[in-house]
Amino acid sequence: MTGAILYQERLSFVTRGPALIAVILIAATLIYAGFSGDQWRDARLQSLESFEAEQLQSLAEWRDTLADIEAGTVEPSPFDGNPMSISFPAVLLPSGLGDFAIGHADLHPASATISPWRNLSSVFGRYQFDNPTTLASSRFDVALVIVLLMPVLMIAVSFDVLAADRSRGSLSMLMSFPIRLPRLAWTRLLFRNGLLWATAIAVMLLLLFMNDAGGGDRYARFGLWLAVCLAYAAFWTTLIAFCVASVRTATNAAAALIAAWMLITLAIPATVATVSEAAYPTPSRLAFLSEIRLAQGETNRELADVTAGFLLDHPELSVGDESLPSYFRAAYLSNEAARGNTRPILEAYEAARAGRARTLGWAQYLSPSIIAQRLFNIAAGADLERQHRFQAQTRDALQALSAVVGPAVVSRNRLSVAEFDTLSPFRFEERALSGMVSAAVLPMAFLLLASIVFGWLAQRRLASVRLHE
Amino acid sequence: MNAIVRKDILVLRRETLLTVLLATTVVLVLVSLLAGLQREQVFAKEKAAAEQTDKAVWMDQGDRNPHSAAHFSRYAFRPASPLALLDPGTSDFAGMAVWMEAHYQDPAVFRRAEDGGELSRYALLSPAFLLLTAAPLLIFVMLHASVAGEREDGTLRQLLATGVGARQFFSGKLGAGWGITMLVYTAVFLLIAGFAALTTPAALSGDTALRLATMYFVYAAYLSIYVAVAFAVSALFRTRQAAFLALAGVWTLMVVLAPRLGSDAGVAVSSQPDARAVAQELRAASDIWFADKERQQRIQDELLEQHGVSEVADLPINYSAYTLQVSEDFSVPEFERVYDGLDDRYRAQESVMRGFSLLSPAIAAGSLSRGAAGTDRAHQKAFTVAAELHRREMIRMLNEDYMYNAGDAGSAYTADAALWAQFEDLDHDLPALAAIGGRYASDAVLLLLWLAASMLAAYASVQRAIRHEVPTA
Repeated sequence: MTGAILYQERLSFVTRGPALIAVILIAATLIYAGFSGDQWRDARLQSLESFEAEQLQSLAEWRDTLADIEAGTVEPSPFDGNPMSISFPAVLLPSGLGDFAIGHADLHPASATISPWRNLSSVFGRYQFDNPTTLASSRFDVALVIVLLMPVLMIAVSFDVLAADRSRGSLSMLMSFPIRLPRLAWTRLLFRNGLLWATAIAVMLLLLFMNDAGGGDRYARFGLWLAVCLAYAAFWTTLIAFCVASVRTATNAAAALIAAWMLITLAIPATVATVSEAAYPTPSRLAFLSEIRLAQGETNRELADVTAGFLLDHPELSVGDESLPSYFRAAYLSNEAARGNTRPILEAYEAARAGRARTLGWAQYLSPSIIAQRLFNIAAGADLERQHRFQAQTRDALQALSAVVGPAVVSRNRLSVAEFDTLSPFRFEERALSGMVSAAVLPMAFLLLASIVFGWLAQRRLASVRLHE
Repeated sequence: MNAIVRKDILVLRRETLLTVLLATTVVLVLVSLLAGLQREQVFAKEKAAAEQTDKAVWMDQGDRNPHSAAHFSRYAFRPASPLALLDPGTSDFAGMAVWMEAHYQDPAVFRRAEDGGELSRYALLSPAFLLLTAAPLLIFVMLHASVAGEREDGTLRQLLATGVGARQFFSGKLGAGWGITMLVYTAVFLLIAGFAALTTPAALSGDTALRLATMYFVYAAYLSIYVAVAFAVSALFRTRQAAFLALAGVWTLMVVLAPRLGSDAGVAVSSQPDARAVAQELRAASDIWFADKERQQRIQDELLEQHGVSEVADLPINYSAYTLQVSEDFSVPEFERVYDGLDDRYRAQESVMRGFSLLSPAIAAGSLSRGAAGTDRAHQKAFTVAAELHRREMIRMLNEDYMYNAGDAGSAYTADAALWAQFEDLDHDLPALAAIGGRYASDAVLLLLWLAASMLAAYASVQRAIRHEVPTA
């Protein structure tokens, strides 16, 4: 009998156009999103790689100068080989699956200049040149299509799987055949939604291989991505089944499902975002700025005392070239003071972020869309936590560099080549794949559990509808 | 016609889930208003605290060379729009502070969006977002069966058999759908406006009222377009399912895809600036005087001739301070060139976006809404331009103090708090909408064209449906 239902589906659904519209829509949007993401990732990669190469080249030249000075082959000016001029590049490259979700990656800094001239605020340079109008629209990526659009299309092709026959009066006639209503409903639902998801997965596989970023990392991340897709598909299919089994008219079924969609994909995520941000507000960036300004002001005003204090703490230092302008040590010392002043603010940032993460940890179970969006971002390396990790690692690297060069800067000496060679270039520590998977296990289990519950409820309702009919 | 209106309103009232959907939307509007209010209040406090600290740090910097003070300088902070709680627009994605330092025109920094949580880029609840995105979907759910349902149930033929003409049928159906939409929308908008008036009474002014009224008419036109589109599409199909599916597709295209496609296409045609390249251009603009030794010599010769002396030491002013100001004057056109270039790039992106208005009225309506709320790029630019003019004036005053008062002290000259106190905070208000309204004319025209075209399409579609049902009609 399933064969007969599928045959009827092919006649009424596939050949009459609705399926074709839905399939074309999903394929076209995914292809566009995939290529748009690929274009963004390529441009980002190119810019970051050229930045890194230029900076490393300058650093190599600086080291050569230092080596020449040390070998006594040149007569240096006070500025040559100065430790304040050490400048390591730090870059956050898009992940292997970075073309699938852009998430927070286009908003936060992806490069930094780790130099004693920079403080915690200026280490990322001036990067806010993007057009705010286009930035605010957020990018049209594959994650958005799956999280937001797929459920709408699933609803559009499924809302009347029973109501259409009911309104035509043909449901009773169908029931006179040796077929049970649950099987009819499930077969239609699985056929229609299976067609949509098969199209989506086929296109995503196409993107996986065509937008080739290479490497097993891409495929491993895609494995997680695909698992999330399947769990998300299962949730929406069973929720739709529950709705169409519970509501009699097509209009009411559509309204109920659209209400559920609005709630799950828009209202709850927005409310959770709003509540968690209100409950755990980050300290003001302007307050951060104020603390840095205060530190700079104090250091400039009390430079002689601050320098003397530093030298007292480092009695082993002997003062070097006095012809070097005082603003070198002033810059270093005010950056050090700014680090001290802003430490409580950065700790408050971390506390707020931890609070938000805890809130999101449980609040994600209020909306499968939150789960899906979060896991997609993690899989694609576009999550906020990755951006913050880059920023924290950059600040740590800046602190480590300052600790090494500080005594030399304040005492107006140079580092030795051997001392310089102990410094390591910045390398971003990526979260291990196992960490991503473990972050996904519970939410995925929840999605599957919710699917089982809705599936079971739908089955019960459908069975009772059959008796009623 | 009245009977058609009454019947449709009755049918819609009986759909209890539609009422639930509507109630959910109203609750969401309330939640978004509260969230917006909280955000704006926090921002107002942060801004006031930062302004206070910045002024205190400036005043407490001690005795200092004026040019050293010019390097330390001050920050300008963007004013908040009283209607940002209705439509935050692009304000979170634009910097809220400008450092007015010597030698350099900095971009606005500290974007609030960077402080958002994991979900902040995925869902930002605001009344404008709900009106632009959710309201059209609600209209489509409400009206998808308006004509297709009559055709599917066979009642359209019955209705036509009673002598109802195409025009009456169209007017009646449209009247019911549009009437309910406008009634609910007006009630919701009054709620929004009342909330804004109660929570930010100090900000209420004639300009704010004009901005609110503009927003009302923009969204009234925008939602009317979707009422007409719902009829046009519903009349194209014989079944509710097909009509709903088509409308879901139309919503996907017009509301979700087109604005993002427009934005993406804008960036594809005119890419986002490479931040490093722009920073390098600004640095070169800043260094233009210092890098040109020939020009420095020429200016020095001219100054010596002007004062009738042969040595810099004999000048009645401090020559270093003079050159510092000259370097500022030389850099200004270069900074303008760089920022005008950025502006051209942004405008090119936005022109492409506007081109996508052919696919969707959401782009024009969104632009008008942001403009009316004072949260678009034009308002941001007004702030950054004011900050730059303030910077130039401030640096000039500092350099001139150094130039005329340094005397024999030369670079050891220091000024004190008496000089620092002469500098006012940047006092920048939103430009009046009436003064800048002209720049939104093309979006307004696009929206009206959409309204006219959608009404014509709806009428033509209903006529076609009637011809299909009753070929002789």
